[in-house]
Formats: sequence, structure tokens, C-alpha cells
Amino acid sequence: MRERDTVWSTLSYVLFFAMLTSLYLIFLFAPIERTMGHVQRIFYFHVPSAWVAFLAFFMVFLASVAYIMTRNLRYDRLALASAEVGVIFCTIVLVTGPIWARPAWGIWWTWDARLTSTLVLWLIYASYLLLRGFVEEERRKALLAAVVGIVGFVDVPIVYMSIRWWRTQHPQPVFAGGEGSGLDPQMRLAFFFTLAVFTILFAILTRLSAGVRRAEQDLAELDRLIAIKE
Amino acid sequence: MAPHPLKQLASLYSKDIKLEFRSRESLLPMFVFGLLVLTIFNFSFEFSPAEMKSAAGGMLWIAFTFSLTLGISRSFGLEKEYGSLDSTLLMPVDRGLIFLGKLLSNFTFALVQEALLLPFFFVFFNFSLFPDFGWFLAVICLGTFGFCAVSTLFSALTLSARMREILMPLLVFPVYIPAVIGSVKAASTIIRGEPLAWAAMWIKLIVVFDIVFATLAYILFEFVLEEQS
Repeated sequence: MRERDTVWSTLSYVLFFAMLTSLYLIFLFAPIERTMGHVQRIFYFHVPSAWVAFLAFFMVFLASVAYIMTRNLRYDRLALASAEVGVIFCTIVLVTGPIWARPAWGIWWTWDARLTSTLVLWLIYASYLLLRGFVEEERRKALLAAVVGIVGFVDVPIVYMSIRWWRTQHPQPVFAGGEGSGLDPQMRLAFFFTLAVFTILFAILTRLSAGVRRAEQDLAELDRLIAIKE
Repeated sequence: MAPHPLKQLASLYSKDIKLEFRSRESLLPMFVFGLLVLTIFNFSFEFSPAEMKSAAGGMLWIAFTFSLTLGISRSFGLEKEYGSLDSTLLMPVDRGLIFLGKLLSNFTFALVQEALLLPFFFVFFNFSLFPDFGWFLAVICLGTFGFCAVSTLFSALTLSARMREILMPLLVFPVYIPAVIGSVKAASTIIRGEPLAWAAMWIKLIVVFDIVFATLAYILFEFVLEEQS
């Protein structure tokens, strides 16, 4: 256990310096985008945040399935922690998006496939977090959350397809997106470095959050034992 | 020997139907609430007849969904109130059948309530029957079925939750969004009298939604009820 803690705390220090490097790469190293200018640099935060949000929601799904199969509260803590971090990063996506869209497209918001799907995702997982406040009993709460975690995730592709048919404005993926896609090598370095940094940040935050939850549950258990003794 | 599964399903279903039609506790409030929503729409927007045709599908769907929301948390609510869920669970009946019975009875209530509301929709918005009325009804049935599949699962799930009435729409609505898009688009296409082929894609979308979530709910339901107390 101690050894693992050391690994994680080392990782946190590494992350700190990696983040500084990432800021350097984003603001000083990467070239200025030709048509959009400096505002394009928000891309290096926007897309990695979206990646982390999707990764987190996928983790919620996996952990929810694992919980239903094993009934081990450990997976429930993992699902909750991922959902919390996911909603935070999804919020970052939804905030940085309009800030970027205003100068790039001339509008704050448009009901396009990707934007709307992200908003729906945010709504699904925000209600996932909310519902936990409505159930008292720990295992009941975990089960309810796990079912919502699964149903919500299965909904994602259907939401995406439905809204895509509806309308689309968001640019196609710049990577492997066919004709006219692709990034300048320096931009690519800044981007993938930031992506890695955000992924590590996600892992560390999720672990911390799950740890807090575990401590809370342990404490509640102690409280219960003390109450019985008295 | 246990009766044929279909027979078991039929008795589970008729139990719910009898209970509701004898008390009429949820159908009437749902219907009146639906009327209220339609009325408030008339105050909220002042459309020209052409605009009305575009907006009607959406209005109808909001009226349906909102009034269904009033009723959905009642599903399994009676069982909870009278403590009869335990006896239902004690029956030597497959859990999947209990789900199907509940889903079918919820679906029936929803359709009855929508059938009550639909004439008022036509009168209030001055519509006469449009060409593809059969398909219009099919869209309503498909969209409602998806809603019932999701809400029946969540209804069983939230039995021990506080403030179920608030929690249920919070859980059901975000998941239901794709089916709302499909239903509104398909219904509007038909109301505007556009070619049926334009609605085909949306109808397919609702069908996919229905199949995916009815199956998923059926599978998950078994896990949901086992720890019920």
C-alpha cells in the first residue's frame, strides 16, 4: 500500500512539471493559427478536456457493470469519482467551447451534433450525481447509480446519431478526418503533450476522489460501531 | 405445474389495469394536466397557421411527456404503498415477466391518456385529419413505448428514494432525448403533409431506441429488484 502511495505522489510531482511544460508548449512553442489567431490556443484545453470527459464516462460505465456483477463497493466509489471528474471536464468543454466559438464562428452556441450531445451528456451525468443524494442506503444507492451509469452510456451513441441527423456545424475531427485535416507538427506536439497531461490529471483526481469517498465510508462504519458499543 | 408464461403475463397485466381503472387515480389528473399544458402553449406563442403546423409536433410531444411524467412515478408506487411488492416477488414468476407486465400496463395507461388528449389537440390547434394519420398514430405509439421502457426501469429503481417525483424526470428525460427528437421530427413531417419518406429515418431512430432500451431495461431489471425490501 505504501509503495503504491509513493508511486502516486511521485506522479503528482511529475504532473506539476509536465503541466508547466504543457503551458509553455501551448502559449510559446506552438505557432499562431493563420485564420483564428491566438484564440485557437484554447483548442489545446478544449479537446483534451473533451477526451477526459469521454474517458471518465466510459470508466463510469465499466465500473457500473463491474459493480452490478461483483457488488463490491470499490467499483461504486470508482464510478462516482469518475463521474465527478467527468462532469467537471465536461463543464470545461462546455465553457471553453462558446469562448472559442464566438470569435471563430461568430456565435456563442449552436445546436449542432457535437455541442448538443455534449450538453446531453452533461445532463445525464449531472443527474447521475444528483440522484445519489436521494437515496439513503449505501448499497441501494450504488445499485441505482450503476444502472443509470449503464443506461446513460448506452444512450450516448444514440444521442449522437440522432442529433447528427438533425444538424451539424462543429468541424470534423482534425486528426484522421479525411481531406484538409491535419495539424502542424509543433501544434501536434503541444496537443498530444497536453492530452497526456490531462489524462494523468484525470487518473490522479479520480483516485483522490475515490479515496475521500472510501475514508467517508470507513468513518461512517466506525461511527456505527461506536454507536453499537454505547 | 406453473401456468404458461403468457398466462402469467396476462394476469400480472390485468391486475394493474383493474387497479387503475377502478380507482382512476392517475389517469384523470394526467389528462387534465395535459390539457393545461396545451392551453399554456396557446398563451405562450402566437403563431400564424403555417408556423403552427411546424410547431405542433413539438407542442404535442411536450404535452404528452409532461403529463406522462405525472403518472410514471406511480408505477410500482401502489405496490410500495400497500407492501404488496414482496408478495409479487414471492410468486414463482420470472422477474422478466414482472417487468414486461409492468411495461405493458404503463404503456396502456400512457396510450389511453394520449388518446384522451389527442382530440383536444386537433380542436385547439384547428387541425383536420391529415393524409398519413395512421403513421402519425404509429409514431406516437413508438415514442411512448420508449418512454415507458425507460421509466418503468427507473421507477422500480427509485422505490426507496426520497422525492421520487422529482428524481424520476431528472433521470428519464436526458435518456429519452433521442426519442423525443425522433418523435417530434417524424410527427412534424407528417403534420406538415410532407412525403412520408422524409419521416422514415426518424421512425427508424425511434424503433432503434425502443429496441435498445426495452432490451437493456429487461436485462437490468432482474438486478434491480433482487435487493428490494
